Amino acid sequence: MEIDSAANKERRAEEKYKMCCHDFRGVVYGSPIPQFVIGADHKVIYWNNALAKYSGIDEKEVVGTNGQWKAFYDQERPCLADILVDQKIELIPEFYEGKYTKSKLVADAYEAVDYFPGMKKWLFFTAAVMRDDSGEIIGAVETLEDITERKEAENRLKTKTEKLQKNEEKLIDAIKKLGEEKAKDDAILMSIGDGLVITDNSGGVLMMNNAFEKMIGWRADEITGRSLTEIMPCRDEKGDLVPYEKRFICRVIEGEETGTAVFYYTRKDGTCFPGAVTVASIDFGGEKLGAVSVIRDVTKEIELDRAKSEFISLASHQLRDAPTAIRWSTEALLSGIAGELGAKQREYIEEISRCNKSAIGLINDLLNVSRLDLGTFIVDTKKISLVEICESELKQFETLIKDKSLEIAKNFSSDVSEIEADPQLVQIIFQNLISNAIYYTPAKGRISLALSLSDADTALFSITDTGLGIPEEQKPKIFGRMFRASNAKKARAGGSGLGLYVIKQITAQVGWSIGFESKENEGTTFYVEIPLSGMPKRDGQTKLTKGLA
Amino acid sequence: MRKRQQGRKKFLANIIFQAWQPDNFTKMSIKKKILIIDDEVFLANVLSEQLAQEGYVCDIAGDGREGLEKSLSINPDLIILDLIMPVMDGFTMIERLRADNRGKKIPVIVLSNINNAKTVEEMRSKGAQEYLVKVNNSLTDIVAAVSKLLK
Repeated sequence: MEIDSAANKERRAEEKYKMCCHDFRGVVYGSPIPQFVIGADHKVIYWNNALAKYSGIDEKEVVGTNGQWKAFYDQERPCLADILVDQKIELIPEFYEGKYTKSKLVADAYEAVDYFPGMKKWLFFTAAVMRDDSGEIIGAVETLEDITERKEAENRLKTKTEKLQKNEEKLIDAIKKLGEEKAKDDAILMSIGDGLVITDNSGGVLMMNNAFEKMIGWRADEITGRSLTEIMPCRDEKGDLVPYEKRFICRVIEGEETGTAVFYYTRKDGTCFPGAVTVASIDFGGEKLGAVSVIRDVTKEIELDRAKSEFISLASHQLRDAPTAIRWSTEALLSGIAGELGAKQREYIEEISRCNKSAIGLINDLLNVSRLDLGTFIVDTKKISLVEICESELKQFETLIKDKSLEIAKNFSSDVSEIEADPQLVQIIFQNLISNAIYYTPAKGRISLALSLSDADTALFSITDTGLGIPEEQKPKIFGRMFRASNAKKARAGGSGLGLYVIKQITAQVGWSIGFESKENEGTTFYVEIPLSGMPKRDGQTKLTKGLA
Repeated sequence: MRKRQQGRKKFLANIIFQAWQPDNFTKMSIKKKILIIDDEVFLANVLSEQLAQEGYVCDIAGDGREGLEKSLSINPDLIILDLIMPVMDGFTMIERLRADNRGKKIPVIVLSNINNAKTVEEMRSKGAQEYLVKVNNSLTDIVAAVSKLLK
């Protein structure tokens, strides 16, 4: 092998350089990636086709000039390659603040990402210096990558992510709030004084509050999931066991309205207590998921009620004894059993008898009021004729009607058939209306009674008098308790002021209605609307007492 | 009190006197016997007098036990029974009366100032034929009820 001459060496180096240059140029120009090369003097050496196409600036325009900025900016400024050629690294932050990084792949290279408003493009660009064999910088190459689409996608993703994050925060907030609300609701439910139990739609226990646990003696964890009917048997007033199908928790699921009622419930220890229960179904999306029962222990109320009834019953018994003695004695005296009475004596005794009757009436009215208020009176229905009852009530006032020379007109239509109603209650209604008309109509007045059909299923009873009438301003009060119109007080001392209250209550409780029209000093008409269906039967403790005529 | 007792004596004397009137005496054998059981002496007296006027013979017992004894011994045609009484009340009296063969068929009118459906029902189920509330009935009403039951 012959030793290379110096000239040979040089020639080979030059060839190599030329080849390198050629190759480099070939690489740059053939690349689909836009790129340019500048020399140490910042003048453009290469400007590849991809860049020309991309920037719209032809190679010829820029090669040999330092106009590389024209592709990117609207005024002269250094590109990344320019800064690197000068090695003024400190200038990078000034021009690319927050947008650049040092390349991890190529030594001395920097990368940056920037938005170019003129092009409306996001570009990722890398610039690297080129050195000769001695290490001196001879130029720089800058490659560009259009990352607009990626960037936009990124941005879209970012916005989306941010939105999602915000939503998530909101959701977390909402969940937190819900949690707090639920905790609050739970706390409220738990601490309600009445027993509360929630059952599913087959009667299984889901949840209960503390009061309920205390009430029945079971702990929640002992009975959750079990059938409420088995754990807490329920009996009606007669002591009969109420099966699940009849219990409110089942009936509300069937869509029934159950209201409130008292049942007798059995505790864990076998003892019983009366509970007033109200049940509501839990409706969700049109489906009945279960039932909420609120149960109140009414032991004390029932005891109190019983004591009250006993007291009233006893008191009423005692209250009646004295008037009974007066009634029978005056009757005996007036019958002449104890000897003939003088006219004056008879007059006095008759007065005693009348006052006594009004006292008896008052006692009976008061007792009726207490029964009406308690809603405990019996409605014992049978077939009755309204006309017959009306006639017989009217008959009881015969003497008074004669004494006052009142004219009685009757217009009873034969269309009104018999109805199912409690005769005693109908008597109380008619008696009160008739006695009012008679007492408050001056002598020689006229009283008209009428009964007819007002429509296919309603009868209308009316009684019209030519009496005192009701003063306009007192009209709203006449059905009130113990109310007596000012002119009525003057006309008759004995009235209790309870008669209209009693009949208003009766009519309301049996589904009838009562009304009136009146003009002072001209007269009054009372109307009673009577459904031909009569009165619904009702069990209770006591019957109302009819007053004395 | 003393006056009242005197009044009662006089009253009883009157009844005896009336019963001994030759007119009534002849009817005596067909007269119906009524036993009034009531601790309210005055009420019992007024009632018995009224009934006597109508031609009945009356006896009075002041409480349920006395009433039961008399019912079983004198075998009245009808008993008028009050409810609230000392020693034995009307509820117990009628039970004992109906439990005894001698008392099974004697008609009983309860005459009390207790006025509630439960009690009426209870007394009827214990065998009372009629239940009248004292204050709501005149003496004439009671006599009518008695004669209706004794017809």
